Amino acid sequence: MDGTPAIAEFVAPTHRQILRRRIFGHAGLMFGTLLVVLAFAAALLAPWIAPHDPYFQDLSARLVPPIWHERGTWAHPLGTDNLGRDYLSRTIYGARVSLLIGFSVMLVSGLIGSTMGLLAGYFGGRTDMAVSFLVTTRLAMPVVLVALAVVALVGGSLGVVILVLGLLKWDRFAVVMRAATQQARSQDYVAAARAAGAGTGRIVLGEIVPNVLPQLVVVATLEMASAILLEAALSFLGLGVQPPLPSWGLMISEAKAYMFFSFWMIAIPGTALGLLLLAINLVGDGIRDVAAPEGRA
Amino acid sequence: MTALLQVEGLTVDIAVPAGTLHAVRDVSFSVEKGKTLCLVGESGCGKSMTALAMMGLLPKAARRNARRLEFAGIDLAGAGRKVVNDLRGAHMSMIFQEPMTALNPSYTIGNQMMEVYRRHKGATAAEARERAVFLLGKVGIASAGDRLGQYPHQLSGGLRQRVMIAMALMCGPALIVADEPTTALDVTIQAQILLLLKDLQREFGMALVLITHDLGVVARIADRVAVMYAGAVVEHAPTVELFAAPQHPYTRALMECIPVPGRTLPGERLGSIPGNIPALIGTVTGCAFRDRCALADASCAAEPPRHLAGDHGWACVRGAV
Amino acid sequence: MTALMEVAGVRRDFSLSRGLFARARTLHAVDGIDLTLEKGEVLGIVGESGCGKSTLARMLLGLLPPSAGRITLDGVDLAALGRRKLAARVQPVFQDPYGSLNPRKRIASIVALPLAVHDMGDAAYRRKRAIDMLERVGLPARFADSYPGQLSGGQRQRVAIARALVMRPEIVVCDEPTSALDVSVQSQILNLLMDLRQEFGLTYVFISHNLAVVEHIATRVAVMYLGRVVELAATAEIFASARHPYSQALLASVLTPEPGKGVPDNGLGLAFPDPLDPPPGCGFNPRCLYARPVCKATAPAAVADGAARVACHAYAPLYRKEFE
Repeated sequence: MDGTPAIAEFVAPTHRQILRRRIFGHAGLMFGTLLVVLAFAAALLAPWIAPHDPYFQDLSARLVPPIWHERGTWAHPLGTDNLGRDYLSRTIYGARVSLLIGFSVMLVSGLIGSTMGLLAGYFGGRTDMAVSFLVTTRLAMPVVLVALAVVALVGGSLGVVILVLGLLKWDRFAVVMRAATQQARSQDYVAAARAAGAGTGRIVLGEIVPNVLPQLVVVATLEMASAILLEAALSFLGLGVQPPLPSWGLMISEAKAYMFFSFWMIAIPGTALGLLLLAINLVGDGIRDVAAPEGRA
Repeated sequence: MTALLQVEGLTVDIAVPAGTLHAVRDVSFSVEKGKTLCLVGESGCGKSMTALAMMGLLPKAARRNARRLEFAGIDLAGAGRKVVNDLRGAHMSMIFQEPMTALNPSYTIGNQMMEVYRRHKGATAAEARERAVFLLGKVGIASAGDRLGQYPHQLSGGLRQRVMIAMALMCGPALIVADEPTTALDVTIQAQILLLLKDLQREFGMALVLITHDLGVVARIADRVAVMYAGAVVEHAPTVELFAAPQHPYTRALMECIPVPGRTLPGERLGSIPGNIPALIGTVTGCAFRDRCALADASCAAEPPRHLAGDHGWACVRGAV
Repeated sequence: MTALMEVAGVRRDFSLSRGLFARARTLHAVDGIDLTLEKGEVLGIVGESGCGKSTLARMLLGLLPPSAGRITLDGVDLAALGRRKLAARVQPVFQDPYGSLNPRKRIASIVALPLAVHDMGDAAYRRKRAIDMLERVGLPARFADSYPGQLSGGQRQRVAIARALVMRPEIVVCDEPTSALDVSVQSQILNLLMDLRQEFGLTYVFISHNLAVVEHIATRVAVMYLGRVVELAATAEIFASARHPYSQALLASVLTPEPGKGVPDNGLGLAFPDPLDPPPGCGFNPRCLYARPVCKATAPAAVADGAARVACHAYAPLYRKEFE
């Protein structure tokens, strides 16, 4: 042979290079991640970056408009509410409540739902029938009404909201994980692992879970966004977290009486909520695009 | 006799993220009326892309170029969309490997067969129906009238492929391009379908371009063969000639790879071609097979000369063996 | 020769449910099979799609329990043997090298999986054994940390073979191991399988629809039709003088690369059987050129005819004269 290859060397990129290119080439994922990271940073660092105590009422400075308004002052960049509390500080602390609830609800419901989905998809038969029955039953219950009823009964608090939503919102995890597991289970690599003598635990954790993980992550992000929105709705109705805790839903609720004269009071927490939801959804979509396995897009 | 289909210098380039994929590189061949040409090669050799390029069915990212692309005296390369659309289906039709994906699952087969005929021939529903029943009978489907009302999923794989063939015949085309028409079928059904194609060809006199990876199919059905490797035709010859005296090292190596009763002993080592098919991304220089060729030397880095002995041609620095 | 594995009266039914209120139908995928697998042989199993050959393979691997009958390995029922003991002795190679390797695991850990399951050595030892085996099947060690997506079809099938052999099993059940591969790669894999058989003293069950490949590699061939073995004989015997009309049609359909011979007419009609509703009597009778009334009435039992076993009334002493 003459040493020069027939076709100008085409170097197949490595797994990591492809992944890196896919991640950094995905504008939606990058933008969403940036916003989510900012929100998390704000939530974690709230005590240090918030200019004021979010609970401190200054009745002499009520309804101060934000800085871009002609009457705005740098002392309260986003103004103050009807009790004179600093709105920027409350918005920053509000991120804490939203993310805490979103994350915890996702963990609780994800644990319940994906376990059920994995079991149903892997074992099929009676297990599948039982899980499908539970999912159908759960889908027959309107989440908001049941959540309202329970909170009205036992009283609203952060813990109660997390628990109620967590116990109600596992259905999508179960449905998606069931389908993904069924699909993975029918693959020959699962048959090969069984033929190698592997037990159920090793097959589920070692062979199936890695292949359904991307779908799980996508559902998790979408469910987190949905939980945040539900918390805001419950709080808006007065049946979520209780005042004076700064929750964005609660802030919108408190602002509705002042909506016509101090529109920013409703617009600021609303925008924060909208941006966070958008960001989380972008991250979810991005992960789904990036995680499609190579070669079989 | 002038050729029905003439292809000269056909190239297909596809833009992919890593660069340009040269799927088809300077391919030339011609098919005469009533004859069968087989394009044979392994996956990724460009044989399917060649077929799609002929039919004007390339994917959006692909760019087609040809010095000459002529069907029945009509220049396909220069013709407008409308002309090509009218030719396709009426005068040249295509049969795909997997009829389930080529047939529309939400229409009955009668509906789909009649639609082609009515659109191209302006026939009435009754005429189209009559023709469909006639052709389903021709391809060996019993109680054709009842079959017209069935949906593709109600038929077995062999029957679906027969329906595809009948549909391709609806307008009495002069050319049928069949891309691996029997690869998804069982061997007994494959033999039946190929026999059917051969009989129909004799009866209706259409030319056939058959794309396959199976040298057995090639030997039994083709009049001429073009062997493709890495997007280019490396050898072309009349079938008997090709199997009797293959010239290109790739053709010879390919023939060594298959067990043939009488020629290879049971359990004997088969020939093999080391290495992998190259990804055709980037610039191709010299002979594309030289990385895997046992006979390659420094002279292979240059563009291989084309030999022509009678109507047997090949592209290799080596002359006849 | 001693029988390593024995299949006796094995059936496997699948219940196909058709919605909540419809009665489930039963598919007899494997409908009464008797076979022995001799040590050191290559038993080819041929037949067309839906004939039950893959179901049989899965039962031999212990992946599916038979609905009736028993499969024994050295006289011990597979069910009694336990999955891990069976796994150490019988291993699979599947058809689709894209589906048989977990796309999210590295090559070395895929090959080492059987070792990990059997708690053999530590991770470093298992990795070394996996790499040794990869090199033995012709895959350089640099692929150890690649993912299946970065390999070609032939390379993946080598990985699947390495995984099957890493435990040094006695029997390898190959289910269409070369059907998804290109011709030039197919011959490499066949050569490799034959070399490995020599080196490790393996016994193969080789399932394929490609008769030329089976003729090349198998020592004995079983022809299956609609869940039954219709003919069983040594390879040379069956290819020289097939007895069952279906075997004859199957062989007639093989397209050898001999130009000028034209496309053969195998004489089979279009009466494809519905596996869910098999014809009464012999399953092949609607397509058979020689069918007699008896073929529609009773299913033929396997009888010895010379060196072959055939399930066809034409070879049964009781009915033979009806076919003259």
